[in-house]
Amino acid sequence: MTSENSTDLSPGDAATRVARWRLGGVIALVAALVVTVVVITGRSDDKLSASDPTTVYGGLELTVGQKFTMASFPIDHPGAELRMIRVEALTSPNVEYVGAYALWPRDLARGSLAIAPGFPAKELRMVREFGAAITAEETLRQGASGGYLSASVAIGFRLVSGDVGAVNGIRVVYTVNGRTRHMDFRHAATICASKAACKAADDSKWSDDVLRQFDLVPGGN
Amino acid sequence: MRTGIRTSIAAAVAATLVVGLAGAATAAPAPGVVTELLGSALVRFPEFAPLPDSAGLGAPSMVRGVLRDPAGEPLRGAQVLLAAWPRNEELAKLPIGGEFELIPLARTVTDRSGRYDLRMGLTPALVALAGANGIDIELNVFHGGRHYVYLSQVHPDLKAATWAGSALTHALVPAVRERADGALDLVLDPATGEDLNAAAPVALAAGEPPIDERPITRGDLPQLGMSCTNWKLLGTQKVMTTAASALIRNGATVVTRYDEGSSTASTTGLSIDGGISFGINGSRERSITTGAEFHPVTAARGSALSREFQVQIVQEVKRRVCHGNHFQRYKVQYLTQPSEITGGGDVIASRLPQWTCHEDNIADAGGLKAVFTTDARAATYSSAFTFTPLGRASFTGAAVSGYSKTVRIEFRFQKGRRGGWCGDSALPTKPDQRLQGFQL
Repeated sequence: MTSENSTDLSPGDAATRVARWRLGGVIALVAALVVTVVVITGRSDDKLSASDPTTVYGGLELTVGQKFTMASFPIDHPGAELRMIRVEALTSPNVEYVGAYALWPRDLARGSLAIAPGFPAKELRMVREFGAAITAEETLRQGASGGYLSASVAIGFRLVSGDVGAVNGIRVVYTVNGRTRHMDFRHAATICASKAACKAADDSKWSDDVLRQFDLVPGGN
Repeated sequence: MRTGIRTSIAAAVAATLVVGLAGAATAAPAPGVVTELLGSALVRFPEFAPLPDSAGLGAPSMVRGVLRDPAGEPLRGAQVLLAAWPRNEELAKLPIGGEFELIPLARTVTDRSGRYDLRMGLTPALVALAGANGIDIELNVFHGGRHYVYLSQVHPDLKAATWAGSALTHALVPAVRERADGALDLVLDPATGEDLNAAAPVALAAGEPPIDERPITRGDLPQLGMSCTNWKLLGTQKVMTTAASALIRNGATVVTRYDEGSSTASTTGLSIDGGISFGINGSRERSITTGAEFHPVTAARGSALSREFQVQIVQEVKRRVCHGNHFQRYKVQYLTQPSEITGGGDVIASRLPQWTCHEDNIADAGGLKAVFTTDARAATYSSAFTFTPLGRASFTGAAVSGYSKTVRIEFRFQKGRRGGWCGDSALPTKPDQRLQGFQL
């Protein structure tokens, strides 16, 4: 579902271009059933839809109103020039998008950040302008393992309300030598924001239950 | 113990499979191309003779690819026979000494490039042979005076009315390469093919086999007109097989689940020297019906723990007796293949070498409680199991598991401490990684 209140945003400086989105009068809590798609500029005909996640980051402890960063979205095109265009995300209604930065291959030479509180998370050594060109020379950088280093994006979200929140599914739209492509990452994150919820997150099935509660997986509630 | 029981599945299915061969004929074979079933292929598998050459059929392609020798040269003019096994869930009920017959499906001859294309329609009877992991198939190839046997699986795609190969099984055998278009290319080493002109092997070494192998009697010998399509179950062994592995460091914990529906493919073995040695000749995937749980494992602070998580797979040993190329000479083939996954839960110290993360392959997991990957990302364990099929030489095989919602390795981190994970050759979210979890 695309929120009617979403503004046309180009990902960039989080301080000046922040997506403001709220459900009119209905703040979803644990029993929320509505899936939110945050679309930043434009619309894709091939929609990002609920799917079983391939990677789950379970039980990130936050407080209400706190931001968090998801940043491990490896994009590999060695020898090509890349530009990030936009991101889309499937979230629970009480999680809002707050911005995005690009990460260059050199920024990931000493490892990447999967997820952390704060945006941009303090663990990120460097963040780059979202739409700036990542040169072909940059995408040919190699890491200690001998493989080519990836480019990535760091995406910021905020837990607006409630004890529990979730993200499941990120689409990154970018250009490769001028041609537009997109890559979907079936990565999920589950957030707990109360003592009880974070205690429940000790159960290895908790994240599955949260994703189902928010209808973020097929065959959910 | 009942013996001599022969399933009747083969006869019932074969009668209906004729319908599956319908379809408009394609172009006539090129001049000089042999289309009849000849030589040893005809002697050993006369049931295939009435089948038309697949090259002339318009039915969907069931198995296709290229046959080459180890030097990369195409195997031209090879006779390729495709048969199905009865449904695995039914064969698992076969008592020791029970027998079944192959179900002939298709045959063809490779062209000058070594290409083959075996075609078969999706008939209800054939689709009914599909178990939880598809249809078990057997390829018998005759070339250069040798007989090769290869086992695999296919899946019917009813919506598209086509056949698909099995990604897990094709990933296992080094001599196999599944192309992006689903074709199955095989490298057939003459050393692994039965020499049809050689004399029968010398007397076997003495010893007490763990399997109560009935001696071959006059009743087992192939009579004139009888074929090589009959397999007899000699026995079974439960073999612990590595399904997953994980390395944890410095206080991290790993929780591994192998829930109902999880699957593991393991290599099959063929002996053409009377059971003295077994070589890998394919693979088959099986799924567990009940699930297996593993106890969480935690590494002490400052130390590393490497563990393999094993499931119990029932390996069957089968035998068939076939004509040789000389009058009244016969040859014996032994086969091992996985029958079912019956449980497990063994956690053993890993035999795999420990490895350290390259810093560019590390993903910092912040203040998370847990991280896991659930997509079909599997690592192949080349020495996943070893057993002695006949109490003589051992057979070491490989296995690979399909990571999914049901096969899951989860790393858990202590409160207040940052966690991280990495893959052995790339970021942990990339395919085919062995995983390591640690606390920073």
